[in-house]
Amino acid sequence: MPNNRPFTTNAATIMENLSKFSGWITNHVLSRLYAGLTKENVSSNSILWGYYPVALVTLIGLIISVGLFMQSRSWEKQQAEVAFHETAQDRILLIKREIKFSLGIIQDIASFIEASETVGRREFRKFVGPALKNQAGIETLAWVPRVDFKNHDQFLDFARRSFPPFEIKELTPSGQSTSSKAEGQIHYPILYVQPYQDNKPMLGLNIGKDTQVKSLFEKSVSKGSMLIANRSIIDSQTQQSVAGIVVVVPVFEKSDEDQSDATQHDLRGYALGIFNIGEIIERALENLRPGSVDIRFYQESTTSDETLLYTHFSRNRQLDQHSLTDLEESGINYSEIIEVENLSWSVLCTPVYDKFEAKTFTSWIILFGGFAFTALLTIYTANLVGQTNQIRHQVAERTSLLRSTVEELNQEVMERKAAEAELQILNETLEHHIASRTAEAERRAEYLEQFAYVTSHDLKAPLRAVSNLAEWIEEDLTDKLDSSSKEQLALLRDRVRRMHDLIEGLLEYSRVGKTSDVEATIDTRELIQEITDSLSPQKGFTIKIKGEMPVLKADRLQLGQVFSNLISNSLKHHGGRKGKIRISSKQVGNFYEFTVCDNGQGIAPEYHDKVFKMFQTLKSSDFNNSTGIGLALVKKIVIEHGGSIQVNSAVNEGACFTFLWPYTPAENNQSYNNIEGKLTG
Amino acid sequence: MLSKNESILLIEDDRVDIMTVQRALKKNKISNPLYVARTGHEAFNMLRGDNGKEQVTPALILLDLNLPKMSGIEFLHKIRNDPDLSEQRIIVLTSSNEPKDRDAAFEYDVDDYIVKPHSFSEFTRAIATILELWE
Repeated sequence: MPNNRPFTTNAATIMENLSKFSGWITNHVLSRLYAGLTKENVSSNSILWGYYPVALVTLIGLIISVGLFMQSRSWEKQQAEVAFHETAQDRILLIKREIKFSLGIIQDIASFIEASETVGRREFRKFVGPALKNQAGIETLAWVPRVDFKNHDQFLDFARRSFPPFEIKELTPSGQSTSSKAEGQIHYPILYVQPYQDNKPMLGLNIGKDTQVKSLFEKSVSKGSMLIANRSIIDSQTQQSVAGIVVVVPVFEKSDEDQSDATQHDLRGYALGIFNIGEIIERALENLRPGSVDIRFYQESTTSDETLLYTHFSRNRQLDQHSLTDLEESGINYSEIIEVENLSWSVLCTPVYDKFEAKTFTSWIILFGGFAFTALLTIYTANLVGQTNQIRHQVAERTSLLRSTVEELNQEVMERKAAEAELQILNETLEHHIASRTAEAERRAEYLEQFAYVTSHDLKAPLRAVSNLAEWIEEDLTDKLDSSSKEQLALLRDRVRRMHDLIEGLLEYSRVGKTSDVEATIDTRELIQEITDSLSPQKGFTIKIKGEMPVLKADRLQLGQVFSNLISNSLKHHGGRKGKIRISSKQVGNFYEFTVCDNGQGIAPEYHDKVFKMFQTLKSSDFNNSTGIGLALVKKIVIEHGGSIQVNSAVNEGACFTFLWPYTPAENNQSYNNIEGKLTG
Repeated sequence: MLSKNESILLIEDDRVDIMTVQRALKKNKISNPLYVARTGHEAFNMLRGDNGKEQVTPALILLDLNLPKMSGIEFLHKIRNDPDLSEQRIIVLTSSNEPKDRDAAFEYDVDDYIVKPHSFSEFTRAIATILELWE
């Protein structure tokens, strides 16, 4: 019991600490963790909410991709535009130059005529010859002199000198040329015209009759320099009406006076040219590499919408793509106003369809690369979020598991504490019980001892007095008493004697175990010899020790009492005149086994238990001088020392008492001595 | 052997036991004076001559252990601590066969310890032996 105490204390401390610790875990850490987790778990779409970073990433990725794509596209477009503008500007510059060259021819003719007194047909042809060869788009180059009524005849003479059938003609409204009625009129007949073959019908034609030409003449004179007008002409090759221009330059008489004073009177005539705009343009672009630019020529007009004069289709263009709808579809264009003298043209350049478009795939690579990158990012983020969710889920699961475990632990700790407390109480109660029982037992033992003591004195004394008194009566009245009275007195004394013996036996019995502390080394052979001597058996009885007897440590008095009582029991109840008593010993396990056998009348099996009981004798008290205590005492002594006893016997076959005594050999042990002794009474 | 005038003091409360001693002495023809005290106190009074008692100076005290009021062992304790009487020779005469009593008595240096025999004849022999061997 005392050994339990430190353990209990330790266990209690550990339990207390454990419960404190687990309590802390539960209260502080887990509750917070759990609260956080459950809060998120409350809303059912929290899992979907967890994916908002994925959507965000995807959105940003797409926006960036598209933005970069657009940026790249616009940059590319810009590049294309710049390239296109340059190309267009180059072309317009060339066209302008070509027009200037063309117009220069007329100016040259005018100057040439002005510088000459007279110009003959051959001179004119010679002068314009190189220009006709080199310059494109020239439909007509002509010299138109002013012929008034005064010099009409003189003019005709002059004209017919180099070209005899020359006549001044006029066009009728039906288109037939007729001879002009020259009376009182000023004529502007074409005197020289080149190239001659194509313009042969125009020779001598009074173009002053033409309203457009007439107004042009008048304006140029008042202006004093070149004038240009748009006019559709018949292409000499295709015989189709195409856009052309008419250029006139007035030629005046040479004079030192100021040009501003020039009058109708001083006018000699006009240098006139008709040009095919389309050819000029084509000639201008002839030497350039095809640039995928369509060029449209519009006539600028203050009164009406622009009129398309000519369209140049890029030589890169497929023939079947000749369509004006391209103009609307194309995103880029370039336009410029070309001003020549009094005219201005609007030139609109447009790229050929899908030329000057973004030719590279950079933008698309950027776009789809961005998409691909976004997709990858999305997948990665989704994966990450999924993992996070999974981890969160796991954490929640584990936390709840941990929580429940801790709670279980808590519970267990509580239970153990409760159990321990209960145990403690039980222990205390038990201790208390044991203590009180022990005290009770001690009190009873003391009481019994007291009882036995009192009995030994207070019962024995009156008995002795009775006995003595009876003896004295017998002594004092020895002469007066008859024989029957004497016998009665003797019986009285005998019974008193027996009662005394019973009390004595009872006292002895009660003393067993009380004085068992004294242990001495005993040679059992010697002990038995002593006992045999003191018992002084009747003649005819032999007591024999068979075999070895041990030397052991024991309470000499009590072990001696056992042997003494067993031997005397055998002697007393043998029933014959002659008898043999045999004593032997051997070791059985942790015990010495002693056997005392006789060859007497034996004990019937039904009495085997009874013989060990107190005051039990198998004879009537009249013939019995035994108290019935001897064997009870033997049994009590043997059992008190941790042994046991039994009897083997049958009627008329003798009896063997065998008892076990604890094996406690003496130190310098020769446990058994081999001397076989024979003791004879 | 006691000399003629040496007296014996018997301390005994039981009348039959007193008679037994008287009878045993008579049977052994011992005529030395025998004083009887029924209690330990009475014995002390006699030994000191107090309370009107004649003072006796016995050669031998026969002491019963089972006495009323003052037990025999208490009497032994008291007399051994009394300077005048501590040398008094005492024989214990008792019916107790308890080793406890025997050991206690010998602690107080008694001359002998006699368990009263059950039979009177035995008792007579025992008294004779004691007194014959007295020195």
